[in-house]
Amino acid sequence: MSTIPRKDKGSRIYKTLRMTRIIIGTAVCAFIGVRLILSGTLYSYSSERDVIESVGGALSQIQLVPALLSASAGITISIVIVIVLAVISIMFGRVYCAALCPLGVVQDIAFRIGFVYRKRKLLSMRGKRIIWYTICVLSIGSGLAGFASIVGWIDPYTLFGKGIVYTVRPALISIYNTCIIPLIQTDSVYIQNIRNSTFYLPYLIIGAGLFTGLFIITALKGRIWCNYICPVGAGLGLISKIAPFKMKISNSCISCGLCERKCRGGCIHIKDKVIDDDRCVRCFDCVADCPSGSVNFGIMRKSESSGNQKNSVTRKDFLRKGLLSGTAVGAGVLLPNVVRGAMRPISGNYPFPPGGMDETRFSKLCTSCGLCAAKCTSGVIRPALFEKGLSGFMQPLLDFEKGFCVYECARCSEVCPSGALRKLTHAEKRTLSIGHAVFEKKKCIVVKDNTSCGACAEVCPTHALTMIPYGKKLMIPIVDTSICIGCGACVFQCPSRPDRALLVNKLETQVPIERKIRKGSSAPMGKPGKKAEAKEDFPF
Amino acid sequence: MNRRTFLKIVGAGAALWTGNVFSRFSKAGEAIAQTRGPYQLAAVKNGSPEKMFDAGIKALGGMNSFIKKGQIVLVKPNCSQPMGSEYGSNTNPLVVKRIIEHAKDAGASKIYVFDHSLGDTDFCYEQSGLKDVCKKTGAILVPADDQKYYHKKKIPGAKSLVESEFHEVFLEADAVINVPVLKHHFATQVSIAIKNLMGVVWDRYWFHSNNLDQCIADLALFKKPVLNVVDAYYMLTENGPRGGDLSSVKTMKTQILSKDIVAVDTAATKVFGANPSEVAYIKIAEKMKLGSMDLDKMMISRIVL
Repeated sequence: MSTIPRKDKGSRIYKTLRMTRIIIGTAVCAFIGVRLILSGTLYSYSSERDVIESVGGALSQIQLVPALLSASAGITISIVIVIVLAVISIMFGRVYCAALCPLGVVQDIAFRIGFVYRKRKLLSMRGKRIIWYTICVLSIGSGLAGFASIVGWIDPYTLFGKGIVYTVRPALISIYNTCIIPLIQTDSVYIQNIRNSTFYLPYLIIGAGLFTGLFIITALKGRIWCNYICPVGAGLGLISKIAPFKMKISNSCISCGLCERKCRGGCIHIKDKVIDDDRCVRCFDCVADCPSGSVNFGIMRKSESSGNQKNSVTRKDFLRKGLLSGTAVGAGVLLPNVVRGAMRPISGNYPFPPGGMDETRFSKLCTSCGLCAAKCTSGVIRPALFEKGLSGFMQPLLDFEKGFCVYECARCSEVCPSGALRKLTHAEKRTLSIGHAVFEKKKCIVVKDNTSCGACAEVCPTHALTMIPYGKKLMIPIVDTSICIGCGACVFQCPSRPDRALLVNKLETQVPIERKIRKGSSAPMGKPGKKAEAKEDFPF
Repeated sequence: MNRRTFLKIVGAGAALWTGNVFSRFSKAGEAIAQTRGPYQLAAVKNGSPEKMFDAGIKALGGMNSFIKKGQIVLVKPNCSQPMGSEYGSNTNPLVVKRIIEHAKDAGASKIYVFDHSLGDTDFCYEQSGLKDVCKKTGAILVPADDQKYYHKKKIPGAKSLVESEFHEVFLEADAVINVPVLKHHFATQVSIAIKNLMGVVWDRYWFHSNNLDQCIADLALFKKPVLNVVDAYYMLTENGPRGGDLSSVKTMKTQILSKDIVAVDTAATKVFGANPSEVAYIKIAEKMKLGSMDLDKMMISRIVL
């Protein structure tokens, strides 16, 4: 046995490892979570906020599923991240699940709280892993088939994101707006309500239900989600089987059962002195707390593994399983493609956020974690219901009845962890066309009610929409699509009801416009300033 | 040094000296003019925004003749766009700063600054420089993007805009100092003082569909500003009210001040180069007895700095 030496020194190392896991896990959960809650601002962030944004951003970039998707889009940093995560997992097993997965950390908190109720109960997880692997294979399959939003229903990071953005965030904002603001505002300190841009009651209720369910199950039964459903857990679990570093129980074990009671993964079976390598998330609780120092973490040689033999995998075995899962993934790819054919996306006329560049590419990469919706400064981004078909369910779209895409803002493109939205500079954003405004004369109030208006022209940032004479006294809008960026400001401001007189036709491929602001579109009367400038005196 | 350079230097010196003397004379003239009685309108040219305000307010009898000690004052600039004032679509923050300082000296108990902008108000406050000004002067910059601050009030005498939701700070203020920027507006030709009041209500888009010009004039009935200061330092000549292109901006270095909101709009329209009698809302406002368009009958102080 070439393990870390026994007793005092050993347990100290294990305790350090556990503390490291707790610190990293808490940081992941806190930074990613807080970042998902904080709204984006148009003006630059404060330095404290910058720390949260950059640390949280880095931590969400190392989330496995977004990193895989982003790597598949050819983003170098994500390829490196995937390789590093793979190497770590091959060496040490599912450490990712214990330290880097925010949903895992949430479950650990639940598990900790549930200790009071569980008392001395044992949590052995047994049974076949067939459902677990099936889900994993189907997820990989739908990911490869371009069904990222379906992966998003089962990927732990995305579920965490959805839960925070559509459940926790609106709840916190409501509490802040209704309870906290009245307490802290005074006669001379005005505090504005925060726009509750991600509040959708059905999503909030579903999310609250799912989260409460997960919390209760985990509190009572440990990481059931991770070891029976989670595809990331299944995949990393398989890899864990060949990892040289693993937990094991030595012969000095006194069968006190403390480790089994502490195990969140339910992977320790003390009767047989066996630890399931694929269910173990490497939390280091058992090794740190074992009173007789019999549970250890280290490289295991074949001859030494007495109790663990049943569970260990030979190379042949692994190859066979590998081949099997390869075939299964193949089937997994085929199946969603068939389904995809059967349920073609309903192509709703809603643009996708700027930086998505191409609609097919975007929908293949977006897991719909909701981060862009939380950062949207005008609240124009909302999760799709069925406008984008089943495969686009909850993927972000721009709804111009809710707001408009602010000319000076590129927050959504800055935060996307899965590479679905490319980071845009402000200059790029201002010239990137995501759609074209279309004017419907019949619906315009100038035509309908014979009144002057021009609310649309007032807000057009590129002056693509201008006013031309209509009849004797009135003016109606006209759109120059060559400089229209499809921001929807005109649609949002249009006072015509029930139907607005303007709509934005989405572009399936976002293209840059030629940067130019139309000159002298609505010429002022006379020649401005001339008179005044000519003489030193005043024109009156 | 040869004779020629010597003569040049002497000549230049002499010119400087005489210029100095003349400017002193003209200052004396101003002082005399002021003793003759306060002017109804002041037009100032060719100075920094602060200097022009100092000169203008002096000609009108000082800030004390507009606000009383202990009053709550609202300074209402135009901060409708997220841009610096050099784009001509927002009021110059330097004027706002000077006004706040004068109001403080005049004994205002509280000074509010706000505008309900066309985008994200906080962002407009920051980009326009108002945030800095308020931080430096201690004026209270009030948020405006939240309907909770707006309260429905009837406008007596209004023809189209019978009622509207007003910002509570506008309702609370004892004295409103209206500080518009002079700029082009495609729908109303120009946007100046009366039009600037559109930034105190919640739903501006109702105006657009209900006779815009009449609504703008109606709004001025509700609470008349005690002083209007038109900032025409940078003037947006086209593509208003948003602008966004520096080539559409003309540096005018002009300021017009008056208690009479119609007079100030009339004068500023002339500075813009348009004909005030063709600007519908100014004409309507005069008809509603909000002020006078007849500048010839007014005591006007014309100051060139």
